[in-house]
Order: sequence, then structure tokens, then C-alpha cells
Amino acid sequence: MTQASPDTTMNGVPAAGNEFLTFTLGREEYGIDILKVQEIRGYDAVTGIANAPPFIKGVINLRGIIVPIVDMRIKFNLGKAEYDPFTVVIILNIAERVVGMVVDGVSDVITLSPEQVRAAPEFGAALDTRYILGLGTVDRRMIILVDIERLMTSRDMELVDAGPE
Amino acid sequence: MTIDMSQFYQVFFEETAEHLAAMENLLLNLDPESPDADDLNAIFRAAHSIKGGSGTFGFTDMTEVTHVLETLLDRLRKGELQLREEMVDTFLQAGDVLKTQLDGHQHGSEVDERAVAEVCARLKHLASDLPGAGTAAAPAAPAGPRTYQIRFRADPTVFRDPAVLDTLLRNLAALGTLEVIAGGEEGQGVALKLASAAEEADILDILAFFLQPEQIAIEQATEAAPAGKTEEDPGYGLFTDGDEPPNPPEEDPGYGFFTDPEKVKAEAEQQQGYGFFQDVAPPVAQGGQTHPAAPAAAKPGGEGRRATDKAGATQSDTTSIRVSVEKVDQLINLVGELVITQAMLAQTASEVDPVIYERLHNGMAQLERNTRDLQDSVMSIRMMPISFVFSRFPRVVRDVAGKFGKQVELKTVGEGTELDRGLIEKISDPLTHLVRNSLDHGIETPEKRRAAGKDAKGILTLRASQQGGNIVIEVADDGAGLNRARILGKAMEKGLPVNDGMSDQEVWQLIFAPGFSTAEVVTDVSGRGVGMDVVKKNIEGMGGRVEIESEQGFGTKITIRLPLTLAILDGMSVSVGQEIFILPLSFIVESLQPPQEDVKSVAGQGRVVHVRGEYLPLIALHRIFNIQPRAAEPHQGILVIIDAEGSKTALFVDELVGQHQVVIKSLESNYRKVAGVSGATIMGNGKVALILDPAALVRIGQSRQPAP
Repeated sequence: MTQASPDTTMNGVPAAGNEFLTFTLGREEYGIDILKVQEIRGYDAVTGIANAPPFIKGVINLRGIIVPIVDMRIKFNLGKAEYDPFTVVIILNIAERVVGMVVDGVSDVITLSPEQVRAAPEFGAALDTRYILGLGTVDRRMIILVDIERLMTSRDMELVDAGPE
Repeated sequence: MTIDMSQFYQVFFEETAEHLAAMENLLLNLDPESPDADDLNAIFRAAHSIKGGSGTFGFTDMTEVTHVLETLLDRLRKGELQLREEMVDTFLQAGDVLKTQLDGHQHGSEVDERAVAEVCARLKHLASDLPGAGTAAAPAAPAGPRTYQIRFRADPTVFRDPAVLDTLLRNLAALGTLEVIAGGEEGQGVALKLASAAEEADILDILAFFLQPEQIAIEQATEAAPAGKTEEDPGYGLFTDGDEPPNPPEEDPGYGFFTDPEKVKAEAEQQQGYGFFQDVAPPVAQGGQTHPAAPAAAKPGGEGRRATDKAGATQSDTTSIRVSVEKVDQLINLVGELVITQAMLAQTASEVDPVIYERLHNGMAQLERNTRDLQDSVMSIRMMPISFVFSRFPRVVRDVAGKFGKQVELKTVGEGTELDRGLIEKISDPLTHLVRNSLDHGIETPEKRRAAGKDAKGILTLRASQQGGNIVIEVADDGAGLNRARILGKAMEKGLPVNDGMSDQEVWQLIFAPGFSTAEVVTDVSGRGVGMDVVKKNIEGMGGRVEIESEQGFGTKITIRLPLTLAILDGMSVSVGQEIFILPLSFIVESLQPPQEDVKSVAGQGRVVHVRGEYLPLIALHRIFNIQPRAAEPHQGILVIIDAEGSKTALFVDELVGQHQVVIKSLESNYRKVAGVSGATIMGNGKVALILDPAALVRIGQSRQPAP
């Protein structure tokens, strides 16, 4: 969060030297700031939460802390939401919270220079452009750079209390 | 009701010492040119807390000092006065004075009443906003030595004992070089010549101790003092302490009483005599006089006395240690982990042949016992009954009610409710504010009450209970209630975004705005508008909530809900479908498997169960949580009768799994509040189980009853 902000240029496009963890959802490739990632683990022992939206799979015990798990595939309707020993959960550390995110697969960690990042045009993506920092290009791959903190704390994700009751 | 308040003194001492340290720290970092508003507020709050606490315990001397301190701070933070360097100095001095007062109460060390009075006077001067008033009151830097001609008539009633005059002379000699020109005989006038760097006011101070101002005549001679005399000033400096306001004359009268009369002559003429005097054995016996402020164990000189003060201040209490709440939290978390690990090991160990691995089994049994004991001990560090806080209040109520001429009866309910020590410490300040507010603004005077057709005696109720995952503390009075129109008016005046269409709840929340007070008179108790925003801030800091219910003419009830973040819970685990839930044991009345014919439906939808002549509403947990149950009908599963929200309800679950002690973990720290769930815990298998909130379930059940 704060570590990344000084490196961010005026238009919100991350400056050179920023490293991104890339993951896939269906056939799309996404990138998130590596500094927000706490760890990557398998999917197991999730306790369901009643009346939660379908993409909130429940909570897990991560070494004594209760961490909610969000399935991005369900949320954005990308890929098949199947759970097997290879299902990957990215544990994020954002806004002083710990949140797990189920994705199809984690690809690699890449470094993008500003020239490789283009502003995102308005388009009908599953993801609101508000949460997109830009589009990164590596070889022929297009990586959608997501402002994961903003996305996860947004009202859409229903992860945080909307306000006082 | 008699309560030994002394058991809480230690808490007050510790808290106040903390507040003072925080205040000093903030003051030292304060930039007089552009003071940070938050810092000023924080200093103000610290002072306010000390005032509140000292008021509660009846340490009125500290209340007085903090009250004047607060008045000035209040004007500063409202921007009515501009902060000046000298104010910061005075604040620091006030802090020192409070420290000595605190020491006085704690260790029985001596308090310099004159310093107290002076700091108060200075604060009042500063607060009164007279230009230069502060400067005049503040000790001026010693100017060059001046010569004063002092004349007074030695009043025979005062100077019956020659020692008194000697003392006076000695005190004057302490200021500089004294020459006795005439007098000293009984009933005659005295003329003195004093060469000193001191202000005229200082001399008057000393004389005023014995004489009426009109009896004294002081003239300042313009000629410069002989150079040789100034050299003696260092002797005078010996008695000033860099840490304290440079007002040695203030202390000297008391000091002077211990003068050996035999030595006076010599000393009056020679500054060195002062140094000599310090070597004299405690002269109390010789002086043959007692001074009201004289300490029982008087030390021969000012230096000695300060040394005692310092020794008192650093004297540490070895019977208890103060550990940060975080450290205890960490300990509790670790023990929680240990319990889980132990449970996992036990599960694995149970799978091996007990005949072959007998020693392993024995070891496991012992490990389990030890872990439980450890957990109990660690938990007990934190848990305390709320009576620790409540029992402070009879005194507060008595004092405050007396002050306002109100008749108030205090009722406390649920003193045995245990809560976390950390919460106990933090809740006492906000509760004190709320109680004082209720007494001041809530409960009316007996006349008004009678006029309103109420009993002249108001009732203030403090109630504590555990409701699900919350500790609920209520402060309720049967007073006038909140005045909606006045709050709205005041809010508009303050420029807060309000409109007449706001709900009562929203209007009541306005009183939590910083600086909000509808009280017309700022009193020692409330009306500065500091209480409520601090109350809210503190409670939210604990992860709690404050709710207000008020009915004009009937009273106000303020409810504080605190989460049970660290409390351990005795729970019954129940299963529904594939899920395991924890039901707090304290809510469970009984469990039963009803015969099919005892479950009836009402109006085709709502179901009730007939239990020994009572019809209890039936709530199916699987319906509330949308889970596919294994037992579709109550007679196939289990009904757990819970007592929540004031009535009994039957909760339908698949089966009972077992009874556990669980460590409550917050769901909200990483997720959000879930309806019907108060928290989560980690089971022996490492899985998360949700802890049910029976009261919420009952409410959900009631609202859902008509739905399928």
C-alpha cells in the first residue's frame, strides 16, 4: 500500500521497477502488485458463511487468524469454479486486512517498465475500469493490472462492512 | 454501601501517572507558533481524565489544579487564546505540581502547597487573557542586584517569640545580603536594608507571611549593590532546582522554621551561613515550633527534601508489574494455538494402539491437563468482574448528586459479568463520563422531577451483561431525556450537516461530535463537550459501539456494546448439514428430541414446540443459514432450548457434537459482521467454526417466521 505509492506516477500507472504477480482467470491474465501478496497456498478446509454472496466461499484458519476466501472466478464469471488439490489461493495483505483470493492459476512474477504499460480504455470487461491500473504488455501477452486494494475494499466485493448499521 | 476505594487507588495512580507522562510528552513536542489542534485536544483530554479520576477518588487538590489547567486549555483549543511559550512552561509546571500531589497521595510525601497555589494563580491569570498577565505572574529573570529599604513595625502579637523575627530575617537574608539598621526589639519598628536580585514581590511574599501588607514599607534604592555581594548569589542558587519553577522564596518560610535560633545572627549576615546550616542536625527539636506544612520527617535543607521526593517518585512497586495488553494478547493467542495443536496431536495419538503406546497416551493426557491449566492461568490474567469499575460509582454519584442538589439512587446490575482486564481499564473513563453526564444533564432537580410527576429521587442504573459475543453495559437514567430540538439547534450553530428530517437515532449520534455540548453552564463535571466524543472514541477504539435510546421526559439509556474479542467461551458445538457451529453454553437451557406430535405449526408457517406445558417458537438453524440439513424434521434432529432476548426459543439443529472451551476470534478483523454470528473459533481439526449469536438468531427467526 504505502510502499507502492511513491513509485506510482501521476496517472496511477505504476512506475518502472514495479513487480507484479500474474495470475489467470479463464483466458485472461491479471497482474497485481507483488507487495500486496502475503503468500500463495492451496484451497482447503473452508468454512462456509451463511447468506454470503456465492463468490465468498467462506473463511479459513490461517495460522490462527480467520481469513475470508473470495473466488474471483465466480465473482467475474471467468473460468470454471472447481476445487481440487491444484486450486490456488493468493493470500493478500491489503488495507490492514488479510484476504484470500481463489484464481485459476498463478503464472509468474514480472517487472514492467512504464513503456510496457498502457492506460486501460473503456471497455466492457468483467472488471470495472475503476479497478484497472493499466494494461501491461509482455511479449504478446496482455496483462490486466488490477488495483487489488481498491477492488477488495470496494462495496462490490462485500468484504468490508458498508458502514455502521 | 461501604466500598474500600483504596483497592482502586493503585489503578488511579497508574493511570494518572500515564496521563501526566503523556501530557508532558505532548507539551514538550508542542510548537507554540502553530500548535497542532489534535495535540491540544489530547492534552486537554489528559487533564480532563485526571480531573475526572481525582474527583472520583476525592483527591480534590488535584481536581482544583486540573480544573484551572483545563479552563485555560479549553480556551486554547477553541482558539480563543493564542498559545504562548510561557503557557507551555506553566503547563509543564502544573504537570510537576500534579506529580508531587500524586506522589503525596501515593507515597505520603510532602506537597508544596504554595507552589500549587502559585501555579493555579498563574493558570488563572493566563486564562483570563489579560495581556502581559502571564508575564507579571511568571517569575522574572533575576535582574541586577538592587537595594531595598524595608521598614515594618514588629507587631507584638506576631513577634512575641524572637524566633519569629529571626526566621523572617533569615528568609530575607536568603534573597541577598541583609543589614539590620534598626529594631528587632519588642514592639519597635524594624528597618532593614537588603541588597538582592529578587523582585519586590518576592520580599513582600516573605513578609506577608507574618505581616499585613499595610504594615510594610519597601523602598527601592537605585544605587547598584556592591559588586562583592553579587558573588554570594550562587549560595542562593543552591536552593533552586532546575526542574522546578525558580521560586525558592516560596519554600523558604517552611525551611526557615527549622532554623536554630542560635545561628540566626551569623547567618543573617553571611550567606555562607546557609551552607553551614545544612550540616546542622534536624533542628525541629530546637526550633520548638511547628509549621502546618512541616513534614513529620523533615530534612534539614531544601536539597534533602527534594532528594526524598525523588526517592519517593522512583520507588517502584514490586508486588505487581504492568504489562502491555498486547503482550498478554500475544500470550493468549499463543496458548490458543497450543491448545489447538494439542488437540490435533491428541486426535492423531488416539489412532495408535494404546497398549503398545501407553507412554505416549499418558504423556498426551498430561499435556492436555497442562495446556488447560496454562490456558486457564493465562486467561485469568485478563478476566475481571465489572464490579471493579461499578464500585467506583456510588461515590461519584453521591458527590456529584450532592453538588447539584439532586437526589439520585444508583442501581447496579450484573456486577459479576466478567470482562477482559484491558477492557475494564479502558471502560472506566468512558463510563465515568457517561455517569457524570447522566447526573448533570439527565436527572433533574427534585423540584423539576416533582413538577413532572416523577419521584423526587432519580434512578441511575448501571447494568452489565453478556449478550452473545458482546458485553453490554448500560447507563440508564430516568431523567429528562435528550432534547431533540436543542441538539439540532446546537448542531446547526456548530455548522454540522443536519436537517430536521433526521431520525432520532441520527440526532442522538450528534452529541458524539467533538466539542458538542448543549449544557449552558460549564461546570466542573460536564458541559465542556469533551466527554461524549472521547467516550465514543474510546469505545470504538475497543471495537465497540455506543447506542443511545432516549425519550424526552422519561430518560436516556446509553448502551455500550463491547466485543468479546479475547474472552474464552464455553460452547456447545452443534452440527447442521456439514457445518459445525458453536452455541454459547450460557444461553442453553436444555436440549431435547421432541416427539413428532409436539411440534405444531401456527398459521401454517410459524412452528412452535410444546415443552412441558410451554409453547416455544422453533427456529431451524438450517433455514436461517440456508444449509441442507441432514435432519429435515425436528423429531429427527435435536432441539436446543436457548434463553435469549428475554424469552425461550427452540433452536433446531441436526445434532449435538460436544462441549468445548473455545477461543473467540473476530470475524470482523478481516471480514465483516455476519448476521446471527458473533465470531469464529478454530476447532481441534484446524477448521474454522462460527460462533452463534443466539440473541441475533432469535431476532432473525422472529422476522423470518412468516417467510417459508
